[in-house]
Parts: sequence; structure tokens; C-alpha cells
Amino acid sequence: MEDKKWLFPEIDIVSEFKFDKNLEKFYESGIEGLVRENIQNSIDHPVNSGEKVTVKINIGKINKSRIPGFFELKDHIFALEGRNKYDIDTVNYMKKILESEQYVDYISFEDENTTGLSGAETLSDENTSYRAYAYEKGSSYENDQLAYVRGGSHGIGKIASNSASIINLMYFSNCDEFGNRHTGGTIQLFDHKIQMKGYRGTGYFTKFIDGMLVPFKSELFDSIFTKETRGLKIIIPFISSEYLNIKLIKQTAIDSFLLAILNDKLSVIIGDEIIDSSNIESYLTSDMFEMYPQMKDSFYTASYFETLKHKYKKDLIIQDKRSNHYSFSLYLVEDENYKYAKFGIFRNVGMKIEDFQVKSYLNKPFNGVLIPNNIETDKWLKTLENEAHSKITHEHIRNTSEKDNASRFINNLHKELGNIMLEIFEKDLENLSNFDTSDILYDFDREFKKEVSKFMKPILGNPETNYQKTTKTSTGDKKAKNVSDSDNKDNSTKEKRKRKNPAGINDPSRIFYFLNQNEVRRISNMDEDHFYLNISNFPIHKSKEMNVIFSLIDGEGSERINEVRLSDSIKHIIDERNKIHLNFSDYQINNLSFENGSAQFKLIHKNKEFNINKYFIYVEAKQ
Amino acid sequence: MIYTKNTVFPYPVYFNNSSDYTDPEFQFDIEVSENDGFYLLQFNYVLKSEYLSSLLKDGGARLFIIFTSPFDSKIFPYSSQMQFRIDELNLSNKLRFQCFIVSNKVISFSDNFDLITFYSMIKSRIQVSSNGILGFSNAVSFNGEIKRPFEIFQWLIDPALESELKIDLGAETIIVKIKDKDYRLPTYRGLKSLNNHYVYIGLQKALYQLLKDLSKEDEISLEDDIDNLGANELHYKLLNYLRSKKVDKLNYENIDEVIYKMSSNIISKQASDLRRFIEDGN
Repeated sequence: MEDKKWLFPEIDIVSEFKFDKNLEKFYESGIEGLVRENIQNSIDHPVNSGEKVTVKINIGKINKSRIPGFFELKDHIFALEGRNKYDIDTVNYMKKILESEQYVDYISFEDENTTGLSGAETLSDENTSYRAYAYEKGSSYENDQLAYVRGGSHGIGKIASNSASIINLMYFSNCDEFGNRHTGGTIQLFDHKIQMKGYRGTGYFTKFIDGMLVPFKSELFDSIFTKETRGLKIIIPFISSEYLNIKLIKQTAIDSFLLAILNDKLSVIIGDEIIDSSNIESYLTSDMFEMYPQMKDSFYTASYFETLKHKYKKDLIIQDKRSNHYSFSLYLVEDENYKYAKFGIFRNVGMKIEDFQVKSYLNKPFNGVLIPNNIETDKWLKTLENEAHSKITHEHIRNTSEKDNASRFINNLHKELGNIMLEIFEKDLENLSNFDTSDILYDFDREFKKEVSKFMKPILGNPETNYQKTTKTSTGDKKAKNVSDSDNKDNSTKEKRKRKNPAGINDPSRIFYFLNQNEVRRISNMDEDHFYLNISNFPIHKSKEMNVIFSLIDGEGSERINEVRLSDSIKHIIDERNKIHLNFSDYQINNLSFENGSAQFKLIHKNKEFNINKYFIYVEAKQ
Repeated sequence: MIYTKNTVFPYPVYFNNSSDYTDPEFQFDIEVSENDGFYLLQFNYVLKSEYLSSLLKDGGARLFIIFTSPFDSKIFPYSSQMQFRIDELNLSNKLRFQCFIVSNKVISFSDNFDLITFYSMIKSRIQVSSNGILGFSNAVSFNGEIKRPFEIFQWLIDPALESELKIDLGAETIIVKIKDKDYRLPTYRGLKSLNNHYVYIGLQKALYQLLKDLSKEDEISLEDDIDNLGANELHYKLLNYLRSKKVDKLNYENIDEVIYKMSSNIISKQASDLRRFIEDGN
């Protein structure tokens, strides 16, 4: 038992027959995701704050037999039984690769002047950065109280390295400040059985003695798997061939860490080539980078470099929903050679998060760079990073109110940047002369002015200030009343009603129609909710059974079906026409009977209380 | 919250165009003046429902104003005027005000004679709890600063253009640029429509971009609340103009029909003017 190098937790019931979906996600970000993830970890942990960190990236070949525990891994991989075509194909490919070459490709990332992980020697269950890194799948070790909010330290990023290996294998080697050297690793498979014994899919490269996880000392292994100097080294054997693109590795390292390199906080060594602040300009002006990219998704690094040199700089303040002010330095250049307006958003540590595109302003001749002016803004940006560190989003945030707040901030960012570009654009127009329209005002202009003055009026009576107000009915302009409950207008004189899906139902085979205010009557008291529906204007059979869908309007006016939850508060739903109890689920009532285009039903409350929810109502036409 | 027309309330609610009431009207308006570092807002309303008016009078219900800005929302009891320090009320933001009638106690609709006849048998069963919404007015929107509120086109000459014609969409206007002043045909003896093709092309491009920027599922319904679409000033002017011209929806298929509703004579006027011009020339 002691001879085993890989520990797969034993389980009684094997149930997970799929690879972790994060593997696929990270695989999709390819070499760029891998380079960013690993360099970012390094620059986040310098020995002394503000000092330069070096990351060495090497590509090479290694004899399979020198890979620690290789033969054990082979046994486990050959025991995998995929359940769907994708996993079966993947497993077959893994098996093929294991058998083929004697020498396999690997990539390694090694950092210098970094702290490395600490606490490898700690035998207890105490949470140290080593233990968190080595043994916990989705966690990150953070002292910071903001950890739960900070999406930037997802911890899931560790899988990025596994995903780059054909057999989802990665090793790491750590050297701490005392010179203790340990080697660990993980492999991400799925549940399997070997000789009737079940094993969990995640394997750990570690000793397991008396119920304790004990890291291996590095001296047992090949030098490739040993970190000599303080810091961390990642080794990924069986690296997929598309990752072996040296040019792309260089481009990514420079593009993602432009500021860090310029500010002399990072140097990258790829093979024998050193890239640092002293020579980065020669890379940027080489044909590795375009100054004016012709494609939307190219590298904009050379452009950002030029923009940073430019004199136009202003402080940009963006607010969130809670009136917090976030301050950025904005560098901006207008140059008609730019086909696409991209803004490089950087964190203070020098890593670029995103080539940000402003909504409705993509095809504009600008290039910009945004850098946080203070720690609060920098921390805030980190919470907005998605798992792959490639975008700022609100989608990954769980807490609803935090999510809404982040969404507001991002919208404001779009708006403010858009306004700045617009201002510059309009200023350019000031230099152009007008068509001479002194003798005529085009008919359309005149018509427009006439109509608009009916609903748009200046506030403050004073036409000098340009504030305008619009007074409009909340339900559109007053129309001639033409609908009453028994009104059965001939369909040929009215526009045919169009299908509309409730927000959240995307099945194209289902046909829904939305009922407007005239088609639903609702009367509630503490015990019951009565609904009267009128579908006489719909192009469907008027006397049939149909399903009714409810969706809920939330405080912001957005529609959501998954929050309706009828079963939480409703005991019974009764079809008033035939007195039958109707089946219902969270947001759908089944088989309500309609006759001559109308139906009536009531919801009976579980508790004696008013149902104050406000609903949108749809009917589903059965085929 | 500012309510839209399609919300289904648990009981009939009074608002303009509500089909539960006979000819409902609840119009709300605001006048703004400035004085000595303060904005004075004067509110007034017209409420046609005698039932609701009497409830307000005898204390059965009260009026509220809800105010929303991009960063904030507040509720005030109604008063005929309100003062704000200039720094408290930023008129360059989009602001909205709406007036609400709210019940002060449990109310039975048995005396509500403004409801339509459909309710005559059942209205005695309808009860509104205390603090229930009885009705709401139209919304009054302050649109912030619009430099050119009544203009939709700007006509410019730009000799540096690479093409003969370029149509740009600014935040407030459709900007038509021609390379040479001679591309603009002159007025001649009262024939003014010779340049109408520029108008048509400009509107097409603007409507197309409007759909691209704001539409959900490739369509914009003018009956929905357009204030929530994220419109800039140009979008806003176009959408409100479409509404006033009774356009109910805009999609990629009906752009030409919508342009026709916006201005029905763009092409025919130009054609007839050209013909007359040609005939006169002979």
C-alpha cells in the first residue's frame, strides 16, 4: 500500500460518470487561458510586495517511465468506462496516447522570487496554502475577509492546468522559504472500479499514512519535477499539441501582462528568450503584433502600448448601484485606422482582464486603456473577473444583490465610455459646415418637430437650458376603446396575434400566446384568486383544453418564471367551468378548459393571506 | 416601481386605458422652475373617477409620488409643490415621476360605480387591503439634457469623406454627410423634395441600428415601456415619434412600412417634384 503514489479516494457507490465540466470550459480557453492562469498566480505572490517576479516557461519531452506513478495512472485510466459518446471517445483517446509514444510532450511554468506555498510539513488538518492547493478542488486559500465575494480567486483555476493535459494530469513542485521541497499533483478522471473496488475520479499525488495526507519530498523524483529555488513549479505532461505554440505563448504572455512587464514587475523566460521591460518594445513593434488589427479578436497589445504613451488621459469615475465611486485612469486615442474600439482593462498587478467592447460603439476609431487609481477599485475589479480571468461579468456572482450591483456598474461603464467617445465624435463635427438649409426645412424635419413638440417640452420654461420632459400615459397613447369582455372582433380586421414565449422557456416546439390586460381579469381575496381569461382574439381553437403559464414580475419589472412557485402558496386550482381540480406545477396549470374563447379558474390559497404577486399570463396551444 | 400596462393585479386598478373602468383618466404633470439655488416642482393631476376622488377626500385613500433616477428611488406623499436644492436633483439624469393612489384601510368595491358593467355582480366581493394600490397615473419623464430636442437630422458637408455619402448615427441625431455641396439638389421654384432620398436612407439606417442596439428577439414593441430599453437620445426621439405615429412594433421586416408611417410622402413627393422639374426644363 505504501508503494502507491497516487491516492484515489475509495467509494462504495460509483456514480459520477462524467468528466468535470470545468475541464471543458478551461480547455476552450486554450493556451491563452493556461498562460494567464499560471502567470497570474505567480505575480500575485512576490516574496516582497512590489518586487519583480520571473516566470520560466519550458516545453520539452519526457520519457513516460520518468513520470511519477505513471503505471498506476495507466491502470486507473484503463478502468474508466464512459457512458456517453463524448466521454467514451475521450477515454479511448487517452488510452491510445498512453500506449503510443515513449517520449511525451510537457510544458512547465516555474516562478522565481515568489513565496511558494507554505505549510507542506504541517501534518494536522490545519488549513495551510499547501494543503488548500494540493488537496482541495475548488477552494482557494485566502486570509482576506472579502474572499467570499471575490470571484477572482475562484480556485477553480487550478483545473486549467489539468485541462491542458490529454489525460488531465498535472504535477506541481514547491520550495518554501526554509528549503523544504515537495512534489504533488492531481488528475481529473471520473468514478471507476478496479477489481470490484470503487474509486472517486479525482486522484492526488500524495502519501497516505495513518489516515493523514503527507506530501512527497521532491528528491525522490526527476529534476523536471523538482523546484530547487523558492517558489512553485507546474508541470503538465501529455500536453495537447495545440498548446505547443511558442509564438502564441509569447504573444499571450506579453498581451495579458503588458503593464506588469512595462512596470518591471514581471519578466517571462520562454525557453532561452527573456522578455522584460528592457526589450518588450522590440517585441511590440515586430510582426508579432499589429498596430491596427483588422480582426475583432486579434491582439491589441501594440495599440495599447501606443495609447499609453499618448498624452490624453483623464480620470474616469464609475458608480455602482450603491453610489460607490470607482476611479480609473483612462488613456484614449482617436485614430481613424482603428477599425474596432477596444479598451484594455488592467488590474494594478499588471494583468489585463479584458479587451472591453462598449455596447453600440464597437466599430468606432478609438483605442483605450483603463487602470484602477486605487486599491478599492482594483479589488472591486477582481471580484468582477470571470473564472477564466478573461472578462468582467456579473454572471458568476451568486448573491442576487451583489450580482445586480455588479451589473449596474458594468452598464455604467459602457455608458460612460460611450459618452466620452461620443463627445469627441461630436466635437469633430463642429468643424464641418452645414448643408445650406436656410431656404427650406425638409418636410420630414418639420413634421418631426411638430410631432415631437407635442410630447416633449422644455422644463424650466427657459429654452436655453436643454432639459426636456415627456409626459406620457403609462399604457401608451390613449387609444379608442374597442375591447370589452364579450367583444369578439372579427380576426380579419385585427392583426393576427403573434406567438410569444414566456421568458425562460426556449422550447421551439411549444406554442404560447401572451394575454394582455384586456384578456385577463383577476379578483382576489384572502382565500382565493379568481381568474377570467379571454382568448377570443387568438388564432387557435377556442374550445379546447390548454395549459396556462404564469410568470412573475419582479421589483425591476423583469419577467421570471422560475420564481412563481405556485405550489408554495396554492393548495388547489379549480376549473370553475367543470369544477375539476387541475394539475399544476411551479408555474404551469395543465388542461384548463376553454369554451367559446373563455375560461375561468380559481387558486385556493394555503394560508389566509392576499396573494400580492403580479403576474404575466400565457396560454399554451396544444398541437 | 413604475408599472406597465400588462401587469395583472389581483383586483381592478385605475390607470389611463384600463379596461376595467369606464373611460378612466389619471393625468399627472409637473412644472419646473428655478429660483435662487432651488428647483421648484409644481405637481398637478386630473382624476376623472368620482369614486376614487371621494375616497381621497374622505381619507379612505391617499396619494403618493414615486420618483426614480438612475441611482435611486424615493416615495413622497403627494403635495402640490416640492422644493429641491439644485445639487439634490440632477436634471441631466433621466428621472421619472409617477403618481399613485393607495388605500388607507380595507376597502370594498361595492360602491365603486366607475367599474365597467362586467363587475356589477361581483364587485361587492372585491376587497382591497390596507395600503393596496388603487390606481396610478402616467409617468412624467425628465429626459435629461437633449441638445437638439426637435431635430432628428443633421446635414453636413465633409470634403474629407472617402465616399460620396456617409450616414453616421450620433447620440441625438442622424448625421448625413455629403462630400460635395453639389450633391445637395437645390430648391427650385418651390420644389423642395428633391433631396428626400437622403431622408429615406438616413431613416432606414437609423431604424436598423435601433433594432440592433435595443431589440429583444429582433423586435421592439412600442406598446411596452420604452424607458427600460437603454435608449440613447436618438433612439428615444425615434421611439417616441413612432409611438405618436401609432406604430405598434418595429422589426427587420417592416422597416419600410414604418418609414411610411413616419412620413408618408417621402418618395412620391420627390417623384412628382422631379417630374415637374423635368417638364419645366423643357
